[in-house]
Amino acid sequence: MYEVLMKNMLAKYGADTLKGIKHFIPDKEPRKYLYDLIADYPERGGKGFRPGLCIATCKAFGGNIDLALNSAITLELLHNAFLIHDDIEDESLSRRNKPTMHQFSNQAIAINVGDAMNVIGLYPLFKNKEKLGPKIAEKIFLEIMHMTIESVEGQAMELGWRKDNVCTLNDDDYLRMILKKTCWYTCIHPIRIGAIIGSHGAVDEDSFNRLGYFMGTAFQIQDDVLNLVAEEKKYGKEIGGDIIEGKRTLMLIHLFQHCSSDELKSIKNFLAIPIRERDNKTASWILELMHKYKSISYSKNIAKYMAGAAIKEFYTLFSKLPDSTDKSFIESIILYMINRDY
Amino acid sequence: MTGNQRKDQTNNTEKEKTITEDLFDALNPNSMLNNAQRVLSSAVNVLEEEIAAGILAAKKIEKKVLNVDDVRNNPENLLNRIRKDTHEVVDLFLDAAIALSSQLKILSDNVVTQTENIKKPETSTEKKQRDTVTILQNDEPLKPGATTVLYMNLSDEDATTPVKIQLQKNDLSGALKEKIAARNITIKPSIVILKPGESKEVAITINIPGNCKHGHYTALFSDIQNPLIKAIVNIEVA
Repeated sequence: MYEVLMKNMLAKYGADTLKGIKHFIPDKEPRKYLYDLIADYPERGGKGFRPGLCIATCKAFGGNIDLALNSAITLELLHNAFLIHDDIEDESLSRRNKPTMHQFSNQAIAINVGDAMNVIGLYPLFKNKEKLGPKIAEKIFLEIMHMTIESVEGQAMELGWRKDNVCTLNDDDYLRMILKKTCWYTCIHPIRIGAIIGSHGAVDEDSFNRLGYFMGTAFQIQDDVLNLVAEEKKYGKEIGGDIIEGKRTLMLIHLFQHCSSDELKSIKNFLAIPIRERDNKTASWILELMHKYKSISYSKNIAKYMAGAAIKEFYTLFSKLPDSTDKSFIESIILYMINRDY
Repeated sequence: MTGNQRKDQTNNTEKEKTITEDLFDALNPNSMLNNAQRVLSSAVNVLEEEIAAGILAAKKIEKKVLNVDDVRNNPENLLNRIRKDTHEVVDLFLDAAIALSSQLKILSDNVVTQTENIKKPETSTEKKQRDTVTILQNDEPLKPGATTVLYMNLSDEDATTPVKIQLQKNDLSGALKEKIAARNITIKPSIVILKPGESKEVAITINIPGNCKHGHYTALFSDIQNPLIKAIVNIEVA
């Protein structure tokens, strides 16, 4: 029941946001290697998680979609720009069942398209002034700025771990990295921005930090688990790709901590060679080790603890608001995480 | 205890657990609750630490931009520089006003002196020269390093005897204290002898220095003997 509601609402708000994104793409040359490519990733049918959370929170707090749409467009544009650049950084081959942009085009063009999306994403924020007034518009601008800074800091943390082949990480390191790299921009800021707009700036936006953090962590861990256990077609990316990429997931960090010293040495050697030279056989062996040492079930549990804490925060923050479809939609996302069986 | 020491201890403790113990833990609700509490507590600490770090970093940036004490005490500070520049602008304005009033005084003194000394009816040329000032300027802005030639026509319709004219060149002054020095200017011929009813042309060649800043440069050129014969030279460098 809640899954249907969640998917329908995500699809609706995702479509509204995509339409808005297209509105902001300049209708001029160069099309082939720039403007035509901007809508490519958004059109591939992502979850639309960020705009969905932003719009729904705005409506739950008394606003309407028109007020939140510009901010939702910026969130989605920046998210897709991050994805294009992330795919290059991670040397990923596929994204949402299609070749990544740098694969079907080239790295230079993909980087440039990502840059353009980051810049185009500023214009809806500027337009916020007309709909929300200068005070709220400025506040949202700072929210987006903080969100972007945190995300690139989190990305730098993880890229640094990979470059230096750091294998001595623990849960706290992971929780910090994921807060910065994912949670601020996936959940915390979309919710904060939606609440600021919906309440005309009357809410204490910091009160949503824990809700967004718990939700974002649950979301990311479950997404990383899916990378190991899902069907490739359903998941849209190469299965086990995170192991090949050396992504410091909670499962890999758990494995570092629990495997034997010989196994750790072999894993470290595997992660020390360039990504494209890493073989699937060793990657499968590492996946087996993750099953053997229960790294995957451990991570699934952590995701559920986080989702459980998120629902508690949600009820604390949203129970005072009148019942609405949008309020139920946010609740349904968390319930879906709690009950997810992959 | 350092972070690394803490990590090592955590790792050792966790490594001591067997798979059976882990399985048992998974079935044990108390252990599960403890694990959840531990992870959530860690998460909340991380969140609070990161928010505090963010606030501190933001404050440092704000302080860099807006620390009033620093601004007042540090002569290199941006606002002090603005204040200093404002003083300079006011000073410049005062200099200009003083120069202008001095110039007016010289002109009026000259007029008075000439009126007193000459005490003869003004010729039409003199009247025309006093009433009108020739303005010499370039049609297109000049680039630094370029050369321009401005032409000035000299005549004295009322002269009954030959008249000697020698234009005095001056520095061209730009905005603030920018100058094009007089040494970059040549006037040919430097001395002109005009017979009655004759007119002659002088060429004023100006070499714009390569390091000349953009802007308008102006100077008053006048005859050494007769200041009523004068021209304003105005060139634009862009």
